[in-house]
Amino acid sequence: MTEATNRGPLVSAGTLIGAGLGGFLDGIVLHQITQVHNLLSGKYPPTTLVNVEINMFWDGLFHALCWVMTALGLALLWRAGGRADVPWSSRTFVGSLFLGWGVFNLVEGVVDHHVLKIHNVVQRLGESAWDYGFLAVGGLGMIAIGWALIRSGRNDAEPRGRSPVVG
Amino acid sequence: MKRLRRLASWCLYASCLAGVADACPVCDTDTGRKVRAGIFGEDFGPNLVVTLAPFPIVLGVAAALHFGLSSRGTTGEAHRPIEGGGG
Repeated sequence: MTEATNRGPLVSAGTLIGAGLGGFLDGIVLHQITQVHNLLSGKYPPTTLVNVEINMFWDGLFHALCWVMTALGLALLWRAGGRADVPWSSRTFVGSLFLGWGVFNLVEGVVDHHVLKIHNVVQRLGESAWDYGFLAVGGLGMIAIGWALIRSGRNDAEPRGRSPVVG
Repeated sequence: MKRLRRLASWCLYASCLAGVADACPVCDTDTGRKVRAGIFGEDFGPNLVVTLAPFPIVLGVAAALHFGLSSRGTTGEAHRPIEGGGG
């Protein structure tokens, strides 16, 4: 019997779902619940109703793109589940979710906070330790956890739905 | 109970009249027009680009993992669907 060792489709699906969910968490916790920043709060300080509404529009577009990534990840996961060469490994999948979340935080942190400077983690402080903590913990930390989990599942070789051999 | 219902109706009516509700980008009000101008003004293109910027990078990473990990350790069963499963 040939083992299922093609982990790419499962890892890419998990990475996209993790990135999408990570983006949603960023938007829900940092933009909406705590309101420490908005997507363009570096450019339109949310100190007037008009600026709050402008930021709300761009926050909405950001969430829409997170939705697209999540939906794309689910489509890839569905396809991966139908393939005999893809191992259906929980460790690989959960690791991919963490990897995607970390990649999203790292990319978003570097691009939005440091290169484009459209917002900072805590806007009223400007560039602060929060931005570097976000990159270290939310980015590199999550990527390390994800990669370790993916590695731990590298010997998993059962595809989805195949019954275990009995006796 | 009747008084409570009347109070709830009054609150709902008052919230509909509140100025904040008229500030949406599609509202035909002074504030709504300012919001629309702020969103769809000359900075719309640059703002759209910076909003989209991280997403192609994340998609690129996912594509690299999809094809990079696929090319390693594949044992010849690639793309064969599971019998009776997955659709």
